Amino acid sequence: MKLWQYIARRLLLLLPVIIGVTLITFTISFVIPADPARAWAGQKAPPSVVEKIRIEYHLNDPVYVQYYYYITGVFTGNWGYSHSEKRPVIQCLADYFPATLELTIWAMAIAIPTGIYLGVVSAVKRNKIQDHLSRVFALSGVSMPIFWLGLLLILIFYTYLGWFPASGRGIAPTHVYTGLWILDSLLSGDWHALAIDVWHIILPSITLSYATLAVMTRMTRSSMLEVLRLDYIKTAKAKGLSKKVVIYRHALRNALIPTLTVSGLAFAGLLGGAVLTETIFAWPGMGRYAYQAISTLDYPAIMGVTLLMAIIFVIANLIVDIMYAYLDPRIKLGE
Amino acid sequence: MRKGVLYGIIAVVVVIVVVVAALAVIYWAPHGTSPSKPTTPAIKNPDTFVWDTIGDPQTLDPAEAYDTASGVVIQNVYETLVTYHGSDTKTIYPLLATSWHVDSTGKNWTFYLRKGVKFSNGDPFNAQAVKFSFDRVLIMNSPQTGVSWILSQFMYTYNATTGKWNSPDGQSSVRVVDDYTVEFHLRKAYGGFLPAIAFTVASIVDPKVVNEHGGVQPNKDNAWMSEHMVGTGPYKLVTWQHNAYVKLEWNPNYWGGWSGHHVKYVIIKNIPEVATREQELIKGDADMAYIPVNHLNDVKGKPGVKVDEGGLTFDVDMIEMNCRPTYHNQTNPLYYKEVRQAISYAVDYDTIIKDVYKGYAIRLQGPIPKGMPGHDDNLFMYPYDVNKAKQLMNDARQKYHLPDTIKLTLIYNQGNDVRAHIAQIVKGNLAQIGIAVQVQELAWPTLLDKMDRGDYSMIIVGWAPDYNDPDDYAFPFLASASIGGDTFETGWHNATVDKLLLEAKYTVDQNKRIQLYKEVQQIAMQNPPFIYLAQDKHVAVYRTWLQGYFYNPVMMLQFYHLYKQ
Amino acid sequence: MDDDILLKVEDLHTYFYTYEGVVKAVDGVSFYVKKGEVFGVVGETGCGKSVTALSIIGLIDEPGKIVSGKIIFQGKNLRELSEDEMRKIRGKGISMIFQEPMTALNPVYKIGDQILEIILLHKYGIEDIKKAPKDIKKKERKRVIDMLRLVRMPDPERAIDSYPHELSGGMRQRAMIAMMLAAEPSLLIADEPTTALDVTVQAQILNILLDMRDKLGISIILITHDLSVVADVCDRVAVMYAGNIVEMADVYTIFKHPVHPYTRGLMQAIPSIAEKKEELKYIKGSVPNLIYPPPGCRFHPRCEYAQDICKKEKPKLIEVEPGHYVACHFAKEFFEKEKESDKNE
Repeated sequence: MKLWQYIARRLLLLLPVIIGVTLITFTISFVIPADPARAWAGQKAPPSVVEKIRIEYHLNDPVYVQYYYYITGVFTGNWGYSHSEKRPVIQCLADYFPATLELTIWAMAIAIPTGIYLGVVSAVKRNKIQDHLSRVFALSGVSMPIFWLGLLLILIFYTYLGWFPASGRGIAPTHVYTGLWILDSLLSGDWHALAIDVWHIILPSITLSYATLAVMTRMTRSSMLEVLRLDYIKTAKAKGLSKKVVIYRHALRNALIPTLTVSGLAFAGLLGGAVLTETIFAWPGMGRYAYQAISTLDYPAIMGVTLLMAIIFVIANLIVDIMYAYLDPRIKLGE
Repeated sequence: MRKGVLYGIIAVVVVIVVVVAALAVIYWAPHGTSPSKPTTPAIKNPDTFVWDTIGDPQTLDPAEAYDTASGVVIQNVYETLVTYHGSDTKTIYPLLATSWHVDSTGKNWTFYLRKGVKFSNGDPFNAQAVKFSFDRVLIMNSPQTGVSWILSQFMYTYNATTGKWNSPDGQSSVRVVDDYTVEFHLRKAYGGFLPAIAFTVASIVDPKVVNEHGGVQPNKDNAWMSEHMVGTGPYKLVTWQHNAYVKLEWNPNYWGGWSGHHVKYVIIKNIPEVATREQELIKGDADMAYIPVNHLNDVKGKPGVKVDEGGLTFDVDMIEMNCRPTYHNQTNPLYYKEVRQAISYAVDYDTIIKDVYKGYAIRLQGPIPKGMPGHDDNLFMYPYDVNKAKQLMNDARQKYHLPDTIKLTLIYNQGNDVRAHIAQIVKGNLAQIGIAVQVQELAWPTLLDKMDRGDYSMIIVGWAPDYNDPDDYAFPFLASASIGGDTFETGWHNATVDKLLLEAKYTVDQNKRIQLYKEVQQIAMQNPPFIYLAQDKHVAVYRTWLQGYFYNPVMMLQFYHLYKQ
Repeated sequence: MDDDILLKVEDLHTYFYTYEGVVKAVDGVSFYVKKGEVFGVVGETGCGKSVTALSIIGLIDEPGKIVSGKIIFQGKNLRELSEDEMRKIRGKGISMIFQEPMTALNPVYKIGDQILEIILLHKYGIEDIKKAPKDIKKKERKRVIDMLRLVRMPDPERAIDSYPHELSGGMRQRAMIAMMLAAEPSLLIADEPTTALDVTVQAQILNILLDMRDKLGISIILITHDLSVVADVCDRVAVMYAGNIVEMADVYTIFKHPVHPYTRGLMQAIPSIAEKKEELKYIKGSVPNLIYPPPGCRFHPRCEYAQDICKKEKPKLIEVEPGHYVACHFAKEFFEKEKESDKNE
């Protein structure tokens, strides 16, 4: 079937996903024995305020009525009111999601090319010193607690060397179009903000990228090793092609297929909130917001974040599937 | 190469890498004396005060804000009629009002306003602005936080349906006499009136600006005012990046002027990780950082860093006890005052102060904290006396036919390590007098729920000041629910105490009030609904080049007095 | 005679240095291939025929190594060439096709592109097909179609844009052949090209190979374990056992007058419809371990004629009659015996 038909069909799946996810989170929040209105109002608020909150958010109504209000709100752009921030959930997500998105994009931009390159070197120079170094590097990435790595980077690159800042996102560019500050500062020609924001994103994105980089290296390495044993590599060599062409054009193209599909899902996972990285570097992203929502039992926020993540995963899966079909001609979409 | 040799080499490489990394951390991390330490740098950003702290403001609208992070920003951009100076908590000083007087009923106040004050946008400050600001709080009625209760406890409230005030003449409490004179006709005389209007809720806002952005809607918050500020105070809001930072810059129109030393820019950074805050402070990129008590050793002794331990907050920690006759359909042992007295003797207060608060607190002496008017320095405090406790307990057991081992629950809120520690100590203390304590850690909303329904034995609770008046403490703690008190739902009530508290609330004679509160505390101490644990000391950590810092338990940090030298 | 010879392999030793020990996969192999002939290399699995082929084309990878010997192709010793020079020969002077066409073709590229790649490489020196100028690609596309037609690929215009998995086994093998002949090599090494194919397709492919030999004048080294294939297409045959050639002659002689006991055993093991109701003859024992091969003649543990000398000394190839070589201490004796029994038939 045509590509756009396929995409449309998959996007339609978003509908049952949204309903399913909201039903589940809604139900869970009802099972918890606590009065959300009381928590939202704060300890010092008089009962009248608590009651006002209850009425405004239909908390006295039966569950299905509340759900009805919520789900219709979701589709009209009203995702509820975030009580930990005293403003609509949509606004909070609009603030924090792009911050996490930007950080994740940079982390992946570091992790994927570096990881693939190291994996290729590792596979081609199997059991030689480059392989061992690369594998130790990858192993440390998988084992190292991200928290520790972040603090270590701050100690070395901020405290001792003074090269990079320890916290924050920088300054907002003069015109914010997408919420991705570095992109926006490029678009609005604010070079000052561009420089500062890039300077700020380096340490946190390295921290966040490390674990994914390690995974990419290991996956690429094992995938390459498998591919390099296959006959068509022999054929390629027998054609008289140089080693470089054989590795990058023939082997890697095949080895990348599982690796890139994994990276798609890794991307979605990182978007879920790199809480630890965001906490250490005081990055105002969705991870921190999700944590804040959970620890204050800010239900609309919890549901908003969960719903957003569900949508992201559906879309990420779709993109991965399309990528898979594009990379491997043996796979046909929609079958 | 043989396999064994290979793995051996890898192992050696790994060990070397780990050792080198560890050495790097130890050697380079600023702990004590390392040879190649960077020397204290010159003052960074001499005009800017950078404050690394935790917490993000919830709203910058003074009519709605009720949290500390919001309060800090509001108090530096907006101003109130009266205020406190320096560390003095006993005297009220003029701010936007230059003088005032009250009549004999205590219900009618007249304020004379400061002339020549402008808002940061050039708009004039006058009586209309004052009336507008107070009325606004009561009309909006703070739907999200309920902070308007502070004013509505003594001012006329607004009826949204009729559009009139609930007063004899349908007008609000605030009357404009002329451009610079305002009268307050209170619903009831309130003893803590002046301290109450020093609080951020009584900040004066610019009516023109509000009306241009949504006006005043009954029972609704104003989204524009939550994110924008136009005040008479020394600073203006430049930007608020949610969960990231707040940036302020100096207000050239400020009536106090800019001669002398004042920081011109302020950046309040929200950084949740203590290690990151520490590093920025040590490097001098932050001028002040919030360092919790158990991390002070990380920064003590670092060059250029000062740990300021002078100062007592009004933040208190107590254990509330459920004083109702029954609990879960059985007799509630805590109903009997002898039992609660016994418990008060059984708690090892000094150990708690030493081990949990690391000495950064003093023992809480009664329901009114030290330093607040109404505090009684001579009030009886329960000593730690296990024998006395045992004796009282046994007597009570006999008298009231209580079991040998009494089972009680002790609840604290999830994530609070301090309270978790306290719970453990208290559990051990009470075991000695035959009380088996089951400690429960509950999520905050769940805890509140149990408290509301009286479904608990003991809960570790805390309180912080809204404004500097004993009524803000004694009434919520000790007044009975029937007169609007008992915020902690202890179920405790005493008719005499109620009478005294009401009288003290509605009297303007401050000396009389001190006497009344003295009596209240004495009665309450003999029949305690609370175990009074600790009053927090104040610790501030900042760079030695920061000048002009002082602490006041009922005021936020005033940036105008800070400068770097 | 030398003018006639395209490839001469002299005393080739290729060993694999593994953790378990040194596998002497090719331990002293010598042969020659004439221009325009189909030279068969036959033997059981593991006898070293593929390793020999890979050694010729220089694709022995770690832990393998060509230890000694000469490989003289068109007058040059390939072992003395640098890797860059060797790469010029691969695909252009000597080509190789493999057993499993499904796995021997890159699954993510179209057939046409894979064939185009080798043309661009050897004709224009362009390594990266993406960087090739469009007009060259267009021009050579015609050549690709011609090659496909040559190997009798059905519907070449469609095949050129197909992926390997879209074609049948026979079609893939044709594509392989087309690809490996596109640069016009002098020698094609075919490593078990029909083993993975159906019998009918097998015949077609073999015919194509013969066709290529006739039309293009190439020599073919055909490696197989299937004696019927050998009988069908080869001009000359070398029989390998455990890393050595045991007998080498023209195909008629090998089948009709085998001398070496192993060759004889192979011929006898071929089931024949004329000999039904008898137990199938087989050679007792099994292929030896190439890390610790038997001393002397590697076949001696399975040979019914083994003597002491066979256990001590390794026999060399002796020419028992013109063009007929046998590696056995008793080659002459067996040859005489064979001639005699011939007379008696």
